Amino acid sequence: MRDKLDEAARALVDARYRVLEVVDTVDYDHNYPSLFGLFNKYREHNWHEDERILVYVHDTLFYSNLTSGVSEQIYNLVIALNQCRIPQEKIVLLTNHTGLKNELDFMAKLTGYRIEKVIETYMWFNLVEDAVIEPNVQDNLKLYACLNNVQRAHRLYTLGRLKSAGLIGRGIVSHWFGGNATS
Amino acid sequence: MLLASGLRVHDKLLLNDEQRKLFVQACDDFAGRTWVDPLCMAKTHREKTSAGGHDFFNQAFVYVVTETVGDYPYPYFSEKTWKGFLNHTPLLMVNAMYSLRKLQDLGFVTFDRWWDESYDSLPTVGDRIDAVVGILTELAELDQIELLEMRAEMAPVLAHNAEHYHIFKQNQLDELRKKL
Repeated sequence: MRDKLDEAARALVDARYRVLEVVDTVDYDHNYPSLFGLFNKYREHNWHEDERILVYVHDTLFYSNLTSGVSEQIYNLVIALNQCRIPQEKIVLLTNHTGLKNELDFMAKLTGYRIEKVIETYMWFNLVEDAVIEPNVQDNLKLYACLNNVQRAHRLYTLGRLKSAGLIGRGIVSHWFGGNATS
Repeated sequence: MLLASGLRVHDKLLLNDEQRKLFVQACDDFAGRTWVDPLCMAKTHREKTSAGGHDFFNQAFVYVVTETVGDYPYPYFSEKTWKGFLNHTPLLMVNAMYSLRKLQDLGFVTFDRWWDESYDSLPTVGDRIDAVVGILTELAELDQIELLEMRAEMAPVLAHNAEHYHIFKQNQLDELRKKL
């Protein structure tokens, strides 16, 4: 599977630690047994000083069915790490979720398992390349551009509000929500 | 209101009665449907928004960034936002509360000289979207010349953001190196 961390960032990690495993939470989602199985391999591991498990939390998280404010992926992650007795200091967690520390604090109180090394970073695979497009604003400007890929509630609402304001025809609008493309 | 199964974020928005009616109508109008603006000539959305295909940034006055999530309790940025900065485009954000504040903390300059950015502190995504569309409604009153003049006025800020993007990336790497 493709490593979703930016290459330069990954090189920094590799220069500092020997990474035994990369755990991208987006690959596990609801699949607790699979996550548990992965960590369980390291239950009896004799850890060397520089060895680490690298955890990525960079994609969207499931919150819908929980009331604690902790996403399902984070809940499963901490429970699995705790149950498999992975030393807390052996985890390096990288995330672009700027509020994740609150969730991890909650889980630390709940389980006693606290991931110490949590680093917020925006260095992920989809960080835009360096090439700058030369600005060349057209004379016949549309008012706005609003491009939507995956269907999500806030995007539907945005399009609905644009339509109700009579602005759909004033912008460059696309939505790829399924069915056949029309234009 | 349930949307497609498997959504990775909340499938319900906190909306008042009027907003909920509009949302239901929006689901009827847009859910499960694909529309490609004729100005988007690429075959796929991903191709169109990839690094090489940004023509639409030069064809629109402002980029309404419907980020990956709109209702997290904290800002969450993806390539959508960075592309706007990199391509010298003013942004209206559909994102979590205080996302503009976070961008400012990261060194980017937002657009409160030209419109009211207090939408950033509205507590629900429905209210933030309403405010963003309200700004667009006001901008829609301007003619082409006025829009182009405003874009010209914004040029130094847009250039700053595009340049700062590279500094921001380097800062991110430097911070990561320190924190590892």
